[in-house]
Amino acid sequence: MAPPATSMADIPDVMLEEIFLRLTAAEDLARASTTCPSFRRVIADHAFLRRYRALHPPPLIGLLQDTFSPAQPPHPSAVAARAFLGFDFSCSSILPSTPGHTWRPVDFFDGRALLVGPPNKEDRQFWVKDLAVCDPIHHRYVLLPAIPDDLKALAPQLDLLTLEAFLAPGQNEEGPLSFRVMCVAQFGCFSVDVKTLQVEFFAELSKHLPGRLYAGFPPSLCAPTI
Amino acid sequence: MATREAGKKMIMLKSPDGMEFEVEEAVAMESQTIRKMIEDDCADTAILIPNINSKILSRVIEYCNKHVPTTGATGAAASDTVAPAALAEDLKIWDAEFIKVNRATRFDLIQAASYLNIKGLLDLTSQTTIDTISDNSLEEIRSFLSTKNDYLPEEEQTIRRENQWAFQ
Repeated sequence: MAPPATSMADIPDVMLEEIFLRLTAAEDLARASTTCPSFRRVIADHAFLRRYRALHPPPLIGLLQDTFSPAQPPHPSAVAARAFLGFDFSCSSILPSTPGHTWRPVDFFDGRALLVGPPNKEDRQFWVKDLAVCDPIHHRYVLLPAIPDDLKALAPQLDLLTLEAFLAPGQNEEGPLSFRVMCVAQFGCFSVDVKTLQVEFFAELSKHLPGRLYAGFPPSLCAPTI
Repeated sequence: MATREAGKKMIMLKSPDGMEFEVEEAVAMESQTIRKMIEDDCADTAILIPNINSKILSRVIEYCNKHVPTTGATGAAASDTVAPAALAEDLKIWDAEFIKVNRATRFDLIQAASYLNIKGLLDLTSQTTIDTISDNSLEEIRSFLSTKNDYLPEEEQTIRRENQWAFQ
């Protein structure tokens, strides 16, 4: 027989997890983790944060244009958006860059940013750009492989001066946090599997780029996404 | 406790302090843990519930009795005459009464609900904690949940700073 619990802190971690998973607002989770070290140990655990994130979609934090406009009251994410005041979403400082070779954000999805480098002038195929996916909160990034030559060969080159890229949700069986990078050309679409870095031809035709709305959990509650 | 009705399979639950509770199988199977034991054929005579005393176990059984889906003889009659919304409302009122217990009992019920894997009971018993965290200041949360602030002063300062946004 387990000794009777007289304090919440006596409750085993697995049960604390079950309770904290029921907190729907990010700020409540943050307040719980400030209450005592044993709560914080449970909440700051990456496995817990991933479970939490799978159950509660990240709140919409604000709009990213040239500057970041956080959600304002009475929007329900206004409190969580305050965690991002003065936050640098540009990611360009964490990516390897040389003078004249700078990165430009083109899309944000689920707390991740997609950036493109400048066109590679030495490569005759003008539309080939470097692509990187960043987690701006944890300063992590993945450089994506170039589209393989055999796939490039499928494309009538002149049609491809504008190659657009965006982030999209992964396939359901890849897990709730998975995502893909889609590259849309006029004739079709490439998809990059970010785990295996495999580039595939994705047959569906292009769609317009989504707006750059930023949704994510505040830094103190965030497990790395890549 | 459950009254024996013809044709209903009964299960014996034993608490570590030696009490025995005879319940309908359907009631016991509100617990996913017990359901699994029954389905795996580990439950032919009696099931020992190792870490839940008789006082808490009897309350858990009371909850399961109330929440077992109303497909039995009495249940079918009830759902013919009472609208589902009224039934749900009745359950809500019953739940609110059920959870009026002291803090130690509530923590014990959380542990029992978690061990026995009874989702509805875990939802119900956690809700007070959830509400406490949502509606109160840090000092009040600590006091209501009897947690100690074991942070080192500088540690607390860092964590407060990280989570400052949640306190404005």
